[in-house]
Amino acid sequence: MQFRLVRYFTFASLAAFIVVTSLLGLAQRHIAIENMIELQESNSINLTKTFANSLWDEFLPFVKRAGTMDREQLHNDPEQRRLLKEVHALMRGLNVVKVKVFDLNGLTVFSTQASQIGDDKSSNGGFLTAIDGHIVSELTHRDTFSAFEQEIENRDVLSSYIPIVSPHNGRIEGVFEVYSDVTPFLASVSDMTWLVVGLVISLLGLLYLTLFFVVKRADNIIRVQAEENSRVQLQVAQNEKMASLGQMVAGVAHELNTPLAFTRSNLSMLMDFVDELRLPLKWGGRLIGKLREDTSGEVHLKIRLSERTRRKLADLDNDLSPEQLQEMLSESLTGLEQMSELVVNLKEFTRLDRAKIADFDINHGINTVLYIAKSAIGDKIEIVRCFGDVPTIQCAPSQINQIFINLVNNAAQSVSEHGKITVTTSCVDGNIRVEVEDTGQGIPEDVLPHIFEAYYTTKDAEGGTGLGLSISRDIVLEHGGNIDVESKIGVGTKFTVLLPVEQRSGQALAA
Amino acid sequence: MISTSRSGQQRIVTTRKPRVLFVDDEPKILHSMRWLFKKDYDLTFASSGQEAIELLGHRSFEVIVSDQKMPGITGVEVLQEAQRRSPGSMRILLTGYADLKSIIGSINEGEVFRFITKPWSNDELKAVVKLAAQTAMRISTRSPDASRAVAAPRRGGVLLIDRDPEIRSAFGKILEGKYLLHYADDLDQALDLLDREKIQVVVSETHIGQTDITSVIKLLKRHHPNIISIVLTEHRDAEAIIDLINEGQIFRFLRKPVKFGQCRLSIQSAMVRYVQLMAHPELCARYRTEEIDEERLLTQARRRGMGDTQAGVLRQALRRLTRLFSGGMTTARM
Repeated sequence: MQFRLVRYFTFASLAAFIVVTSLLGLAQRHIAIENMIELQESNSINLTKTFANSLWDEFLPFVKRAGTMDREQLHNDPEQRRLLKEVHALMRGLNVVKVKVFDLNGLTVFSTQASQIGDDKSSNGGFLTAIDGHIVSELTHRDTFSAFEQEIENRDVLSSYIPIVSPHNGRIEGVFEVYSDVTPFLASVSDMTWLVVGLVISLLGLLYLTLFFVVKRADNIIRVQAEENSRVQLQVAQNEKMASLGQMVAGVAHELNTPLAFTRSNLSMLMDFVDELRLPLKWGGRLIGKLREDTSGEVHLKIRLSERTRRKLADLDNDLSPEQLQEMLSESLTGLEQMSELVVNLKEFTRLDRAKIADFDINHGINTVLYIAKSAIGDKIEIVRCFGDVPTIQCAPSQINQIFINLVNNAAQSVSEHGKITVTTSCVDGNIRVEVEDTGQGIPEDVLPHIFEAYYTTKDAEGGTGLGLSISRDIVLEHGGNIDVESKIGVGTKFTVLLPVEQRSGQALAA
Repeated sequence: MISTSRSGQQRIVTTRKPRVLFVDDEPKILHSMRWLFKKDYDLTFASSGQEAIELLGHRSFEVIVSDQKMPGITGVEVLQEAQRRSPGSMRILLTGYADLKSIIGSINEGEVFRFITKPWSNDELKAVVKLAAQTAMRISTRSPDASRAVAAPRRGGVLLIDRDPEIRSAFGKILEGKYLLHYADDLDQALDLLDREKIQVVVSETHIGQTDITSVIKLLKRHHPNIISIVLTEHRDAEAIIDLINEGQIFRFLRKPVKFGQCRLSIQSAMVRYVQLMAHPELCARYRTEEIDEERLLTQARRRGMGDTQAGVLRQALRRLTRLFSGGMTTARM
């Protein structure tokens, strides 16, 4: 799974921008509206105060009387007209679109909208708050609204309930409801909000662009490094393969050398002997011919020896016996057999010409591995095979061989002279269990936990890549198995490989 | 067998066959050796280093041919022991896998006459064993005590062919003024010094810059068998070192960085060897090299990657070297 820096950076930035912009916009809008409401409220309070100071005394008797009148009477009371006129005068030039006056019982004593006069608002929350001496405002959006002179449309209206306090005794004597048209204010608040949002977006955009180039550059560097890394890893893995291959080839070359040397020597001697045999064969052939021709049962030979023939005879090697020739040929044949055995084992080991996945006899595989590793192991290390009866398993044989040659080579390296490597196979609980145990120097405790890690090596000087065991572990895991190690300093090390008899499908392994 | 000594007087030598010891852990190799050599030699076989060393305790051999890689005691160890117990034997190491350590060991510890790789060619092996056997037979009858200790000369001349100034100063310290030290930066200087000065030991790199000068070391030994050559190098090409044994009979092979004690000891031993050879010129036969000529040397050098320009330089140097030592100057040079 690859981490795409630029993409993640863009998504994360976008999300952050949206959140920041919305929060800032909302906060700005909220504060602006709060301010506006406060301002409107204070305007309305002033209006109420003016009303209380200038008109309240005059209208108080009407207000008090209103409670006793029915709706019709209230409507037609001459005071209504006068009040409307006074209120009109008071509100001129303000953004107030409607005014109502309630008596202490919640009766709408006066309204600039005549139809509302006489409505009972005693249970209205706004009224009840105001009667308690508090001012309360509510911002609403109205599609249509009956203002003084006309119907107005699509307006934002702020309505405030304000207690009317008597200028004489300071007691609450009624409630004033003032509707202000705040549409222009809200419009300017929205404009401001959009301005702020726009500003924030452009600033963040600028920031994003700057960071984008930085991140893009970083991403490029990271990508190049990652490519470089994987190339180096590939190279190291390749080197490991070549190193172990080289080691194997050198070992095999050495094993081939001895039979090659004596076979070649014997055959070239035999070649010389053919010259030595030329004369005896020729003479023998002639003699036999003569003998065949004979019918009398008795042959007399008369041989005249020339000086040249005498010399030839003197030069003949009379040591040559058919027994020696036979022995030389038979040893040469043995040499050839040794060489072909090696080639067969090499083919068995690499299995280049075989199916990648096959039913495989682990015991047979380990025998091949031990044969191939013979030259690396040398003559000083004793190999003990404790092979149990194990079923064949479906696996990638060349990979399984690779595991065991790694383990056997490691064991051989840790065992000094006269050590022992024991390879044990058995079948336990549906697993094939292979143990490679050596009597070597053991693995130090601080090294043991790391030995399966890639590139971890204690054999830097000898050209170890630190991949042998890591690759072995990967192969075992791919086969659904497990590899484990126990070690004791000065006593030896035991690797245990478990391979399930029932393998996953062949395709999974081949992948 | 009748041999003619240099003084012209004839003497009857024992007619016994030369005794050759073959050591190998593979019996089939020993069988082949028996078939190959039984006609002309008195053969003994040992199937391990241990057995060979036991045999060396109570018998002497003209030639010892040992395999290197054997369980237990290795070939180099056998030859080292042989050199101690019967210095008159000619030592030949036979090996399948030319690992650097055993090659260098065969020079410095085994002082081998030849290093032969498996698989061998019968003709070459026969020729080498024959040469070794003849040499040993001749010397053992003429110089019964060839290896007795000889005092090193007071003021020997050492020629160092190396461009590295650090090596030079190191050698100044190593020689402690006991021997005259001459430096050469290139082949011309080296040849000038060989011409002018009394040089007894040559310590040389195998390469000057890009030029492989092993051929010069070989030709020098060929023309002047008395001069003892020590190779001190950072190059380590197994094949090149094997050629230096067989064709150059180098006395020691030392690896850089310079180890003072080892160098001092090597030069002292080289001086002793020089004096021995001067006192008993017939001993030079023990260090005879394979037949080589300019063309073969140049072909070798080209095969190891030498360019045409460098080959030209080398050809000049080899010609000069040949001219320098032609005309019987070798014996006059002490």
